[in-house]
Amino acid sequence: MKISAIVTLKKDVLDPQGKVVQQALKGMGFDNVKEIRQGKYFEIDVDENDKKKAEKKAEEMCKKLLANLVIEDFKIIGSQ
Amino acid sequence: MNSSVIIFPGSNCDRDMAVALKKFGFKNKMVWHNDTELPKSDLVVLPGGFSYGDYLRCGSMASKSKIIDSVTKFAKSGGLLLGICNGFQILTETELLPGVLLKNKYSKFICKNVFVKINNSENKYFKNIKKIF
Repeated sequence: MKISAIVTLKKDVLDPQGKVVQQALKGMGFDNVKEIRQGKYFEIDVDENDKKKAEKKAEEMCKKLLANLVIEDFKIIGSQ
Repeated sequence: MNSSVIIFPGSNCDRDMAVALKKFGFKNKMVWHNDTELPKSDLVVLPGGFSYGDYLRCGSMASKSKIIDSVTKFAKSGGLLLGICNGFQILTETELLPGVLLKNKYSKFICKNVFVKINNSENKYFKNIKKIF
């Protein structure tokens, strides 16, 4: 079962990377962007048919490795 | 004194560290990240480089290596543990150093030689150093 997860910076954490991307977009003519924050998307194909169990496994992976909980949040956003 | 330098996939300053340690009279062993036991050591060094290509987060995957349990026990029992560059990043991803590294606020990347000074010599590393270089 494929579980989708996103990892994002906590809202109070500075995102200089997003700022640089925003500046690059501005240079390309996209000048109405107020802010960009960059995150990560994971597609985790777990060898498990039970959706709840698969999501729980993915959540554990996020807590232990995929997200650094000091500065990042994670969210399981889908499964198929 | 005995030292161990841990090598992770993508570490590239492990040999430099070995050369430096030998120069200062350490009997050094290179230790692979997948080993489970440290050799008898007084000093353990996590060297610089790009462990796991800096993928995911710098040092994140290296911090989950099999050898890290042994390194943690070593540090908690009073052993000297030194992380340089990527090695320091790895230490912040383990429970051994608090905090986390953020991206440079002003998007500047500076590479130059600087002078450093010892602010506090009340520790095992600096207590015998009388001069400030």
